[in-house]
Amino acid sequence: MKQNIFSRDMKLAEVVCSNRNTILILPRFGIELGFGEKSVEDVCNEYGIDTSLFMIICNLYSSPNYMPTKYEIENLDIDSLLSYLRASHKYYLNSRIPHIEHHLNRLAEAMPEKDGRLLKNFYKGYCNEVINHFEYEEQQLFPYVQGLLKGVKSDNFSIEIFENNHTNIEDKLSDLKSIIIKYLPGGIMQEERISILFDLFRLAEDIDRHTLIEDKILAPYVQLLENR
Amino acid sequence: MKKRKVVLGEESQIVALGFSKVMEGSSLFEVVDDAGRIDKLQQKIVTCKPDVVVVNPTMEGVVKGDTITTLFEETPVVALAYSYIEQSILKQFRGTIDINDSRQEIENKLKEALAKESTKEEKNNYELSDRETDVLIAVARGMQNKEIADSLNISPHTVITHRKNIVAKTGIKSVAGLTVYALINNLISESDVM
Repeated sequence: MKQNIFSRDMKLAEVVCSNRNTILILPRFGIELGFGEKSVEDVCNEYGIDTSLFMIICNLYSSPNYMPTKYEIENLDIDSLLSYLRASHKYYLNSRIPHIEHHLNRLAEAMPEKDGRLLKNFYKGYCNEVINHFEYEEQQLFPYVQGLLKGVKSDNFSIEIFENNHTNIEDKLSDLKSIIIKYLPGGIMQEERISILFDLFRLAEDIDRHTLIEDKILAPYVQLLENR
Repeated sequence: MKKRKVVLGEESQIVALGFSKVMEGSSLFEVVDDAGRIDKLQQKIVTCKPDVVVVNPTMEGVVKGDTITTLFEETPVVALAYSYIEQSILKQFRGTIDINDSRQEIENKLKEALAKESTKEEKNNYELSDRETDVLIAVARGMQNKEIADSLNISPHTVITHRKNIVAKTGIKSVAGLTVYALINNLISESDVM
């Protein structure tokens, strides 16, 4: 896929068509399809979305090396960002993870009993990791940020402490791909396996971008608040 | 020190002569011969026994499909490129000399190609070695690096090297994933990890 830097006067449809992954961003901002020829800015205004934030996220989805400017970070609408992150957590937990689980369970049931059980347990372990990871963000970090905005500092929490405790949720997902591609016995539900793999690759890519948003937008923003 | 021998494979006489001329002043390398065709080049490699071959990847027969030919056998091969060549092909050479490189730069690239030669690892060694399997089993059983080192009588540093190789070969990074690997492949039984 082409790595584009988008501008706010582009048609939203053009953004989505030139990088299909950006389509995942829309529902997290509440944007519905059917926006006709409207520009990114028009659609954002219509929905009351911070256009600048929307652009940064689209650009990060399109080019992982993209860096928002300090000015953009300082002036972003943090409530929109937090609600975007909550919406993507919800999407992973309520949609992607159960969807993949459903298909993995079908695969597991067709496998020899031991292999099926190992697969299910491994996935369960992964799910718990993801749940804890998101809970830590939503219950510790987000309230801390909202506190900072009101001028409340904390002695026992900071973005640095958060980053040190922020677990990696990418490894197990990537391991799951390797296990399905290489190590589970072949000849069983090939089609189902391939479709699961596509889901896993897509989820991994999306979570990778999600992490970029936290690292390149949220963390620098919180640092600015802390040093204020 | 004796000069290292270079054999050049290049279809263009102008470029071949130019390359030899540039390398004339080198105290490290000597272009002992050159050839304009792959079969001639192959002969020269047999007769001259060069330390390194420099060849233009566009010479007919050097690259077949997407892979560089095995005709050069064990001799390290460096590409001499002055037209667009796919990265995936260039990667298979021990280095790439650009047409605009100075003698110094060419010497450095040739030195590097020879250095890679001496530390060359076994090729296509994708399967886990016996020692790596031992370490994998220990990791899957939940042992820490220090314990593994003690039980296998190797240094903790070696354990880390084995673990890196295991990750590189299997693509599995998490302990839980390695445990699944060990169980699927019957390296351990479920009672070992309960």
